[in-house]
This record gives sequence, structure tokens and C-alpha cells, in this order.
Amino acid sequence: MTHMDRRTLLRHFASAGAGIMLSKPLELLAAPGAAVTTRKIPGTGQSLAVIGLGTWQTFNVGSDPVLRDQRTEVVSAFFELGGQMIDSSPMYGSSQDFMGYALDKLGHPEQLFSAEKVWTSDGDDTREEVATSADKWNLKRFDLMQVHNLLSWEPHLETLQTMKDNGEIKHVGISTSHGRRHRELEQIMTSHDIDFVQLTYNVLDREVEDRLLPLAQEKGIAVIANRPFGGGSLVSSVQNANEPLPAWARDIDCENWPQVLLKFIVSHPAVTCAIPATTSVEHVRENMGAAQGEMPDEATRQKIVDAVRAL
Amino acid sequence: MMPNDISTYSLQDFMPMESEVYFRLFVRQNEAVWPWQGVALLLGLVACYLIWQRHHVWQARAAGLIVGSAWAWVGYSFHMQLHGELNWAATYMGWAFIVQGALMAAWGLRARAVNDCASTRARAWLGLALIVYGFIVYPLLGPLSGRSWAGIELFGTAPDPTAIVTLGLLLLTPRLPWLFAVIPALWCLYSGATWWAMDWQAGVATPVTVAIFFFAAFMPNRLRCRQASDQSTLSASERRLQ
Repeated sequence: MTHMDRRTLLRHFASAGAGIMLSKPLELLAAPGAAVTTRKIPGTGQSLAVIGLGTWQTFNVGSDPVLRDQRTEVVSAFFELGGQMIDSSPMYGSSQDFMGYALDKLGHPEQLFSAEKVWTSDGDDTREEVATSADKWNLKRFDLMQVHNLLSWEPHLETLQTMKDNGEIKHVGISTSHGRRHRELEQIMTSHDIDFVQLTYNVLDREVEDRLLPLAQEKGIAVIANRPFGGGSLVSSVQNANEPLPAWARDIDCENWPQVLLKFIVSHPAVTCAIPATTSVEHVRENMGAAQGEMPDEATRQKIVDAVRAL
Repeated sequence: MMPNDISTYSLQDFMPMESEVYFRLFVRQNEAVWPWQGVALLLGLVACYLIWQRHHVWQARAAGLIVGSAWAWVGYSFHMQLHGELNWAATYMGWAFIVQGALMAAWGLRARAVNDCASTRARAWLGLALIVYGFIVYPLLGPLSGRSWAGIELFGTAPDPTAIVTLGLLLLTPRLPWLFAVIPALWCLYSGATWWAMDWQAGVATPVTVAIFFFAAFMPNRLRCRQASDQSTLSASERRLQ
């Protein structure tokens, strides 16, 4: 079965089951061999797989033909397993160029949810930078355009809203990372009509649970969680500790620690998507496993926090 | 940016690429310049010999031109062409290397007379040690620590050995031209931080070469001058200090 066939089938299935699914916070899509958990974007109702793909560092491979082809395999596996959102930025070196290369190679899969950023201090350059990024990805329009790290956010957001109204982009968002500028982010979420907010959230970096995640739920803003493994340090910690997976991990259909860490994030009701980055097909398979099966309830989420803190 | 903002970053957060990608840059550089890395290496050795000798003005000029060309070539071919694809700052690094190349070439070309004196013996030996390290030891560290032989870093085509050898050469000169040490030293410090972030421990020795350079540079420098009999082979103008 081709990707297109599977997608069409899934879309019909989702439509048929929509009435039943509406009452559930999480929506399960059937797929051959695996169901992928999705969340709806509050602003538009579009469904999105809860595990996406980051590109910081991992896809900055320049024009290296060997690495370009290897990373394309990672993107291919991501799509095969039902992944949708790929997030990049002009700040990420040649990652945008790589995305254009990979998408051309893979025939521009329709399930792609392209998330980009505007990263320039010149508030008049918004359109130019969006056009340059689209050119690099070889896309006509992005599904999501975010203001990177709140840089010159006021003029950029104004232009992006106009572009959204004109149908030039589908969603508008704003991003931050490393837990920075949360107060300013909160003000923007309160005072502006944005579809997405991207922030750092993981099992040890939970400050956003206090104000930003509840606010996102209240305002109907989709949440992208970046640095789900704390820049890799969380995975290193669990690997170095060499602790076996707790028995309760089986109850939430986790086969490894990365899946436990990711399920902690995407089981928060405010989170729409987590975007782990990887250079490995094996790791993308592991990560996408977190979009399948049971999700942890509140008690299990607390067990995850306790287990990671104890490592 | 507030100080507490900076504290939320680690060194790795400032590296825009994975270590595998950075290591591959040297493989690609060697593929791109093949077989000229051998010529560059040979010319580098010739430059060291010429500076060590310093019998004639042309030797100083040729050495300056060779080392200057190596810097400019690394700046253009490595930083601007390859590294620049991955890191926006690499273009500026490339320009810094080209400036260093111009400085070294100018240093050679402005030589009007050879210097009859040499650095104090300890400083000269430390300079020689850095040269040997940059030419032989450093290039072997990569392959011996598991990196590909195809990605071997050599003087004249890779930045680290070029900078380390240059620091060593500067120590051989009787009157240290401090200005010419700024860019090589800054590069070695930056490179050490990069290797640290990329978890290549052997590369962390690169900043140590800067420490050795400054240690040697600040040693009391009693110039050792040639005896009158030796100077008889030199012309009157060549006997003047530079």
C-alpha cells in the first residue's frame, strides 16, 4: 500500500469515527500494524501526530551527499510511521536546504506538516525570509510559520497574521526554548491571536505546567514541545544509569526510556506535538513508538517523574 | 540577553551541527583538494626549514608567502566553501583566515634583511615542538582515536594544524610579532571548545598549544646571535636586524 493510499484510508476512517472520537482528549488513528495518536490543532481542527521531528543540529549536513541520503532515510521512516510535523528554522544552518532535498527525493508526502520560523531582527524582512525558506523547502506555503525565539516578534507577528489571512500560510505561532522569556510569551499568548506556541517541556523541565500550558488550553493554542530529551542529556542519563525499564512502562506500551520520556510530554492535555530530533532511523522508530498505544494517566506521569529523578 | 538566559545554555547548544557532520567536513575537504594536500604539507615543511635557516632575505619572504597562502587557502576552501554551509559564523572565520594569510604574506614580503639572532634556546625548542605537533602528532590523533583516515587534518588544508604550526613558527622568530599570533590563538581556543562540545577529547589539546605559546612567548628571551665568522657569509644589509 502506498503512502497516499494509506492516508486516504486513514482520512475516511477518521471522518467516520469523528463522532465517536470527539469526546476523547486523544484521537487514535488506525494504521496497518499500529495506531498513531493524534491531537487536533484547536484553531483549525486539523489532526496532527503527537510525535514530530526536529531538525536542529541533526539535519544540518550541508551538501554532503552521503549524509544527505542517510538523513533522507530518517525522514522517510518518519513518514512511514505516520509522522507529520517537521520543524526547522533559518538559524539551523543547511537544515532547510536538506528538507528541500529530502522532500524532493520522497516525492513531497502529503502528510507533511511543515513548521518553519522567521529569524531576523529586521521586522521588514518577514515576507522575504518566508519566501526564501519556502524556496529552500521547495514548498508553496508552510503549514506553520513561527517567530523564532521572540526575535522582533511584534512586526513579524503582524505580517504573519496578514499572510495567514491571505492564505499564504496556514498557521501562525511563536517559539522560545530553554525556558527563556516565559513572561513575555505569556503576554503574547494573552494578547494576540496565535495558533501555536513552541516551548521547552520535558520530564525535568516543567515550569511551563504552572502557567503557559494551562493558558494555552484556555486560549485554544496548540503547543509544540521542543527539547523533549533536554538536548539529549535525559537520554544519556537514563542510559548511563543502566536502569531496567520499570514494570509499569509496559502498561503504557513503552519498550524503552525514550518512549517513556516522550509519552510523559504528549500525555499532557495541552501538548499537541513533541519534536525530538535524531540522525538515526532506529531512533525515529523508537520515538514514533511513543505515538502509539496507551498514554500515561496522571498517576503514571508522576511515576515517570519520580523514576527519572531517582536515576 | 540577560546573564540568567545564558546560564540555560550548554556549550553543545552553540554548535549547529552534529560531530559526525563536522568530522565529515575534513573527509570532504581532503576529497576536494586531492592531491594538493601533499603539496601543501611539503611547502609547509619547506617554510619551517626556511625560517629555521634565515640565511637570506628570500627565505623569509618565501616562508611568509607559503604560510600566508596556507591560511588564505584554508579560509576559502574549508571555512567559506564547506564549513560555511553549516555555520553562518564560518564565513567570518574564513575572512579572518584570509586576513591572517595577508598578514603572514606581508610579514614575509616586508623582510628587508635577515635577523642574525635567534630566540632563546628554550623558546625555540618549544616552537619546534609545536611545529612537530602540528605537522605530525595532531594529524594522527584523529585516525588513532577512531576517526577516518580519509578525514586526516593536515597543515595547509585544515585549520587546526595550520594554526598550531604558525604559533610554533612565530616562536622561532627573535622578535615575536604579537599581532600575527592573535588569529591563530583565537582559532585554537574556538576549535578546542568545538572539539569539547563534540566530545572528541584528543582535540581538547589544541587550546593547550596556545598556553604553551604564551608560556614560551613570555620567557625571558636572550637572543643568540651568530658569531662574526658566520656573519661573513651575509651581506652588510642582511646583517641588520629586521
